[in-house]
This record gives sequence, structure tokens and C-alpha cells, in this order.
Amino acid sequence: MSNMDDARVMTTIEVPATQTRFPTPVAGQAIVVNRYGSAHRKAVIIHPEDFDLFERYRRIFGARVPHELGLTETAIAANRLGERGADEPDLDVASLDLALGT
Amino acid sequence: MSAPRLRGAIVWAVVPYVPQAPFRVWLGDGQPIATIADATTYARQARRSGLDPEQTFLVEGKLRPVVLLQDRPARRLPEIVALRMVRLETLKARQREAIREHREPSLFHLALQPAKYGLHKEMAVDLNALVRVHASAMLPRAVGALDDSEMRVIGQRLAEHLDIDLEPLIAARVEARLDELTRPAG
Repeated sequence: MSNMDDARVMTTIEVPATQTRFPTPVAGQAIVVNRYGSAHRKAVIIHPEDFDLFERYRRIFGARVPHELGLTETAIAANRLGERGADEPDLDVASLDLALGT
Repeated sequence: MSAPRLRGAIVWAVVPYVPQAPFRVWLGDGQPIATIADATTYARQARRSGLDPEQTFLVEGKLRPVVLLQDRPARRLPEIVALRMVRLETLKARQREAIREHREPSLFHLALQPAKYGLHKEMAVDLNALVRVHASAMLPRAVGALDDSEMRVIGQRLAEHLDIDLEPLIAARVEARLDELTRPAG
């Protein structure tokens, strides 16, 4: 989301918090409401289209959940079998012969 | 002569199991095998009495097919990252069915196609079973291969399985593309 405050992507206009009527937001422009001068932002008003874009970004790049939490019982069972070789009760001789060229 | 393509190849290889406690250490001819309860005990022992430059651990392993994930055209690194495969026959019927119907993203199904995969048993590539294989631990002749589109799917899923954060890479590429599109002509 670093681009959201990048002037190449979105312009900003600043208005004091004491102003009672804010400009109508337009797409691609953020209205920064300053509380104590330009150093302190009280709020930022954006157009609904920009908000939708922001929400999409949040969904795509949202907090990552460790993949392990989504593993199924089958995935775990297969992995445990494979880790100890218990999935192969015998050797796939035909395949091994192919590898050996015999 | 160019090196054979390894990425996607199915090869037979010696695959050791991941070492786990208790650890068994070979101390030399005529010596009993030492058993160390866990990594902390091992570290304390090393701290107390020092260690030889290296130890010989007794680790079980198996000859089994793996799918290679990397090419080594310059042969500069002898170790290759691979994914272990698992045979389906010891799983329950409903589990096998879920894998065949692609409802298990961790298990990439390889149907019984000896001409393509070189395997005579139904298997799945286990996305949770990343291994490194030394070139000398593989049989040189590949028995089969996954095609480019299969490898693309595996690559995408693997990034998720390894919790790799692709956001900075994707964001940088999107930004670069946007810059290209919005750059003034001329």
C-alpha cells in the first residue's frame, strides 16, 4: 500500500479540521484533514472507488496465516506415511528397472 | 553439450529421513552407538566437553522417487531441491478419492501413466515434503517428468506451503508495470 500516498498514484489536498464543509472527494484524490497543522492528520477522505481498491489490496495482501493451519487430515496422514517410508509396502520394481535401464 | 533438464524430472534417489531425537551417533569402530536424548542435551554435552569437528549420525532413509524442482545447467551446485512423493495405496479410500479429485492442495495427484511419469504405482507429489538431494544420491536416468503447466501449479502451491511472502515481489512488478503504462510517450 506504499503507493497510496505516492503522488504519482494519488494526489492530496489538505483542509483544516475546523472547516465545516469538505470538498467532494474525487477518484484518485485524497482529502487530508489536518488537526494541528500539516504535521498531524486527523482523517483522510477518499472516493469510494479508491476505498474499494484499498479493500482489494487488503484482501490480497492481508495478514498471512501460516499454511500449516490449513492442512487437512489427509495431507498430514500422507506426509507422515511418506516421512517414515510407510507408504511403500514394496518397491516399484518396474519403475526402478526403468531408472536402471535394465 | 547442454546438461539434461532436471526441473520436473522424476528420479529415484536415496532420501534420508529427517533426523529426530533421540539421536544416534556413531563414535567409531568398536565403540557403542551413543544415544543422545535431544538437541538440548547434545548442545550441553558439546558445551561441557567440546565436540569433534563433525559427528556421524545414524539416519534412516530409503530409495524412492522424487520430483526435482531445479535445473543445474552449469552444474555449480551438486545439491538439488526436490519434493518427495507418496504412494496412495496405504491411505484410506476416501483420502485417495479426495486426492484424485484435486481436493487436496498439498498432494498433487499423479495418475497411473507409466509412459509419462515412469511410475507403476499411483502417487502424489507431497508439497509438505521438501528435500535436498545430492547429485550422487540420484540415479542418473529420469523415469518420467512433470510438464511445464504441472510444474507451474506446483510452484504456486509451494510458495504458499512454505509461507513465502510474495507481496514485495508482486508489488514491485505491478509498480514497474504501472510505471511503464503511465510513462509519457516519447
